[in-house]
Amino acid sequence: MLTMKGKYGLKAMVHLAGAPDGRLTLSEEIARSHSISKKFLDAILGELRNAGFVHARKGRGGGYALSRAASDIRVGHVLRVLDGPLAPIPCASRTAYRRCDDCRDEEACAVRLVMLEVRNAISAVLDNRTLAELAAMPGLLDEDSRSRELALNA
Amino acid sequence: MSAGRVVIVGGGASGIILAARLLGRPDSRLKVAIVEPREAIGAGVAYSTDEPAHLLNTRAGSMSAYPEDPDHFWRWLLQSGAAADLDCSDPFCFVSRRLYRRYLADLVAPWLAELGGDGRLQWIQASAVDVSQTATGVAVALDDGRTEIGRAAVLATGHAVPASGAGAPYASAWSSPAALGIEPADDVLVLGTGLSMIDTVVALSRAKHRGRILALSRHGLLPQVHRRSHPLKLDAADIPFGTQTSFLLHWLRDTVRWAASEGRDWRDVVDALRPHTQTLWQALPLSAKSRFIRHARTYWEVHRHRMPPEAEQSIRAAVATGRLAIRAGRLLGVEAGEDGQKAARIRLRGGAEEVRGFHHVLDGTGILRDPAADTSSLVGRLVSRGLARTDPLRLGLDVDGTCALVGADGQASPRIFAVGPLTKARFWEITAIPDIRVQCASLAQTVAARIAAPEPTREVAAVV
Ligand SMILES: Cc1cc2nc3c(=O)[nH]c(=O)nc-3n(C[C@H](O)[C@H](O)[C@H](O)COP(=O)(O)OP(=O)(O)OC[C@H]3O[C@@H](n4cnc5c(N)ncnc54)[C@H](O)[C@@H]3O)c2cc1C
Repeated sequence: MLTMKGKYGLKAMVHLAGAPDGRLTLSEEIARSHSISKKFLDAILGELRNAGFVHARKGRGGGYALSRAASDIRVGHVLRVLDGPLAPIPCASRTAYRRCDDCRDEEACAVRLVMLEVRNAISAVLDNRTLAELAAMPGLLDEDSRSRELALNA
Repeated sequence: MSAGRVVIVGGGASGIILAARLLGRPDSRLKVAIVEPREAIGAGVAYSTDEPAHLLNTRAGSMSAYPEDPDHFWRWLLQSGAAADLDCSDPFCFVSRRLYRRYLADLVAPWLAELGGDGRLQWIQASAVDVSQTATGVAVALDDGRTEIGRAAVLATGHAVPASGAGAPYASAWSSPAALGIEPADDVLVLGTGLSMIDTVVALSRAKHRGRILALSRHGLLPQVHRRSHPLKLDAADIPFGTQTSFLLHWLRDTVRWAASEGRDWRDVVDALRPHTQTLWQALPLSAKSRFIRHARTYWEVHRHRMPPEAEQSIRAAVATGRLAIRAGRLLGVEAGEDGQKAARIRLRGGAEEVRGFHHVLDGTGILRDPAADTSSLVGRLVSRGLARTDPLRLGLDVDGTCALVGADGQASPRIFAVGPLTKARFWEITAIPDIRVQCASLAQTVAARIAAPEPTREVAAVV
């Protein structure tokens, strides 16, 4: 399930995807433009670093950058690192499985069975989308550029 | 209806399974030529052994040539009488590799004139030395001066086999003790502690060998043994694709721990990954692939490619009687020693450099080799001519998702393809039959469609 962690992590990754090549971005900057607490964001970026999606450099001139091209990073891959197996409801997961209390016979529960199908559809969609594609979507631009755009259109 | 001729270079398991796929298509009359210099088709490096104790390291139930009919090989075993004196009452049994060679030959018998078939399959006993493409087809040049032409060619030349014979530094562990001239009392050093080493020890044991055997490898790890496994069901949604090797291994360990808490075996997890390994590999960034090869490959392989229980018993017995020692360490060099022996300079892990005498030094270090290192080989020649290129890690030839050969210019060939271990760079787990047969099924479709097209496709897809 998409948690806050997954959502903010993805926003941070899209933010980094928009940074010019070779430039490091401070986590303060990301936190500010998406109104995320910096502490929460640092924890998220730490996990993304462990999984090999971002590089980090400490100290002056430090910050974060994607560890490979945004076109090589799949949205679904980032989300699995932050949220675990993709699944719409907990009992429709195999390794992070939790019982759905309202389900008496899970093997035969129609809702669960269809949700297992849904999760395959979810991974098919999210594993097909790259960060570069997300970064190119107008709806995900940060607040600054959106207000600039609005001003231009006015 | 499609007609036309496909030339397959290499008649090992991959070449044969692909041929059977192409010829078995209900709607087609296409013809296939297999170019294979060995004395038998279906032999290749894996199934040419006549040693009965050289067993398949995959259970019979996984060795069918047809993924949609997984018991095909097992049924063949029962029907052909080949397993008459074996306990193969269920598909969890491990039979001689030479039987698999017979199975592969039987697979194509309906089309091979020599075996009473209809002649749509032709076996040309020669080596291919070059392949070129023309506007309408391919020309495969043979070492005897002839040329075979077809509408498409498939390279199924398998593993880059280490040079053996005169001049090679070490004898190949894939030869029989008799062929290597190993006497019962001789001391033997084997490089590698994997499945090839096990083959050697098993064959030596059967030949009543009583000398000392030292098996040496970087980690001194033996392959794990097969047990009946009941693979978990894992979906793509469960697996952390695209992460660094360390993260992935961490996840794997966590998942094994979780499975154990559910009363399951680690094999259930490793085997559950089989349908996903190619996607996993392709999602790894190059840095992670190279890290995996350096740091994790051995651990992965000893769990993924396991030995039959019979082989384990034989190895344990050899260790228990002191005949066999399996050690982590390195061979630093070999010089001529006393009495025609070889003086091996070795360093065992945690120990000092020492010199030990052996009558034989065998190379059992397996199958990961630069495919183009031998420039006189067909693959080496294709690479030097720019018709093919190796991947950055030099694991194999670069192919696109349909197994079409990618040239030095990044263009996928419309009519030259590759199958099997040669395509390891793209698919990684593509050396064992359960993976090869799936690849053959889809490649047969690609090739049949390609040569059924009325005109040769002019446009070629750019692959970068
Ligand atoms: C010792 C050993 C045991 C194995 N056991 C198992 C097992 O039990 N189960 C399993 O699933 N997998 C096993 N494998 C994995 C094995 O890689 C495959 O099952 C199989 O060998 C792959 O077949 P192949 O045809 O692709 O390659 P190969 O077996 O290498 O065959 C390639 C063929 O191409 C021919 N060739 C090469 N160059 C040319 C040329 N220029 N012109 C014409 N012909 C050429 C060679 O003569 C050879 O016959 C084993 C591998 C080894 C090495």
